[in-house]
Amino acid sequence: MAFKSVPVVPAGEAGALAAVADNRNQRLRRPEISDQTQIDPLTPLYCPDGAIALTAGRYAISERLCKGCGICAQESPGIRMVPEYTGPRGILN
Amino acid sequence: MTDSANTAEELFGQGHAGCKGCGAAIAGRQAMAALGRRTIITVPASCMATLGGGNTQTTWRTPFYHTLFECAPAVASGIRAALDIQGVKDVNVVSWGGDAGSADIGFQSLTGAAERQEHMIHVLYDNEMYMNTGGQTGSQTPLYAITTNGALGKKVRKKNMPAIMEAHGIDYVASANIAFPADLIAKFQKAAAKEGFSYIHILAPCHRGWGIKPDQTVDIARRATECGLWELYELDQGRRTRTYEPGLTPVADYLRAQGRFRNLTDAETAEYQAYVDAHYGGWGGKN
Repeated sequence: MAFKSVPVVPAGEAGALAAVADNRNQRLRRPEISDQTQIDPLTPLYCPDGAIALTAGRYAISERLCKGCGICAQESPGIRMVPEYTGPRGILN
Repeated sequence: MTDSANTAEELFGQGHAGCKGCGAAIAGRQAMAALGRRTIITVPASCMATLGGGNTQTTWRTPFYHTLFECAPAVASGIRAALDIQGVKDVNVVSWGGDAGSADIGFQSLTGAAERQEHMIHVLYDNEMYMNTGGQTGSQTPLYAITTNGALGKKVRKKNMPAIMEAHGIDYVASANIAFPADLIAKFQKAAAKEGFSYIHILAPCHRGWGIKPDQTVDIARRATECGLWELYELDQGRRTRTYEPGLTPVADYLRAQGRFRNLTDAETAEYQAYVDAHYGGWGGKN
């Protein structure tokens, strides 16, 4: 069999995890944009999860992809961390 | 918050299987922003391999080959040879190892590929201990750092990998830091334009191993450079250039912010400071 005729079959769909990931029920805090003008333009590059996008001049954070690490809030005063869940906790509350 | 993340242009990182606040994931995202879609990655056993995903689901949008621990640069060499046979010239071939897969367990294949001057880039993303197996001591663990198998702290200094790689006479050697993404991206762009072997050593903190909070990952990396323990420089065809001039803040500000140095005495902290004062501007990775 000639080298070029060896079939190449991808083991998986490229970037499939980006489509199925959902971290909403796995974090205690989530970032909230409080001031678009106070976001360091480098902040999307500091996000480990690629959850921050700049679209049409405005930053947006994906609630699915964000794991709630808080790096963005550390690096940009225009982002603050808020509790993911503020309701009663546990069966006794 | 929205669900409108830009999933089409991200080549790595979205939905990855690593911890929150992962420094390795940040390094991967910044590097792929420079390398682009025409890139093939080989990764040995490491956190980075785990981050990539498992079974048939991956966060990579470029070809990604999970190799054995010892041989990511050797596999990358073979991929480059296959591309050359096919006449494909516009693809970056990158082996991406951790400190174990590059400086220790994987060193034999790295030194071989560098000696052969393979047309490829090797990346050492350095979290300074074996985090994928629980945080054991390795050759890139700094002096006095506590690890899961070294409760009293490491007794010897970190092996100077950039100097070792420079001794191979390769085209390009650079240190980088996830807290300085513009510098990191510029170095990857320069390495991608080379026809020979390039080596980039990235500081990528691990909050679990370093004893910091997840949101401190970038800040602690920045402190490492600002205090002089992680110099940002490059060696291009043997010509050395410092790419960032730090404020040279006290080393104690960096060390005492981390749980792995919680047992550091004043004398040991002073020893670190004296070492930086004496050696800053020499070779990289001196801690």
